Amino acid sequence: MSAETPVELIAPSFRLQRKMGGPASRLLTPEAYRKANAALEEIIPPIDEEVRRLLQELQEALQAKVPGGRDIMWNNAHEIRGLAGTVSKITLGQAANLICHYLNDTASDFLPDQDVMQTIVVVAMQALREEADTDPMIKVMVQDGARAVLAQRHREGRD
Amino acid sequence: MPGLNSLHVLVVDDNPHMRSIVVAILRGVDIGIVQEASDGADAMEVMRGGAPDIVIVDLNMFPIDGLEFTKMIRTGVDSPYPFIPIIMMTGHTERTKVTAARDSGVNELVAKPISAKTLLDRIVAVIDRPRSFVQTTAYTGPCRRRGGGGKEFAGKLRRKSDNKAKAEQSNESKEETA
Repeated sequence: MSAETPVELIAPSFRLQRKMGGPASRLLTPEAYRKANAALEEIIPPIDEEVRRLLQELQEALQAKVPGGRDIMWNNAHEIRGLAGTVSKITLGQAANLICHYLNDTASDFLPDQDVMQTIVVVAMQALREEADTDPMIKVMVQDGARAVLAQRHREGRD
Repeated sequence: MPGLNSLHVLVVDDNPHMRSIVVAILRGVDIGIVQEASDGADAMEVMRGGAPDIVIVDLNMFPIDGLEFTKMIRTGVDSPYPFIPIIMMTGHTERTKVTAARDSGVNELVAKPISAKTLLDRIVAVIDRPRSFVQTTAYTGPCRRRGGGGKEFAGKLRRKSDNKAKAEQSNESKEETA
């Protein structure tokens, strides 16, 4: 790029459409979307195992009470939030979101309240169950967890 | 007819489970070649081995995050494909993160949790609605003015900062009438 022409504008490329023989929207039919969803359904079991592993690691970091543990907890909760939503485990996603919300705006050496965190971890474990999203008891547990997080953030002067 | 099986997509994410979700969606719609890489360096190596058509990358990766990886592709002196369409996945939907992703040079952003529909809609966007590519000293990537392609905007002016322009347009039309 020369000094005389500080901005170069390159025309959009339709190479991929040519390669595919037409627009992608024509090829990605409702049937294609259905097949993609079916393929997604098939990989749910290994994701359950991964969520269990992440929760276990999160709990160990919580109990270890060492600086830096906060980052492990936030990262694991963030991963669980993404995975849970993708495989439609709504309550699990909500529980993981509560952990992220509680730990948001805190430094790496932050030591979270054990009781509040433990409450949400238990909710997340329960939310892994097959019928969790239709269980009214778990919905109540999530609401209790949300109240506990809000109250704790308030006590810590963060809300 | 070639179709979707002629496409080559590279998925870059340090989380193998997230990768498996994306790969399952792509293979579910019969995309021909789906390659995986666990980090930016690995992805660069894969890209040197064969030209992917689209890269799907996660924002939150270690040691090189998705933003840095995108900048490496767009501006790196040894970058094999600086104009390749990049779709970034992120669980961070705060404005600052979205802006950072856009400014790194990604074509499309998909918020987690991803679904087959959201991901495939982004793929349709990069194929069917490609944008002009802009190279300046400060930015290299697809034109950030969606739809305009860098051309004069001909639509309605809705921004507060457009009030002056509206007033000027109105004055011009009055003059023409007079």
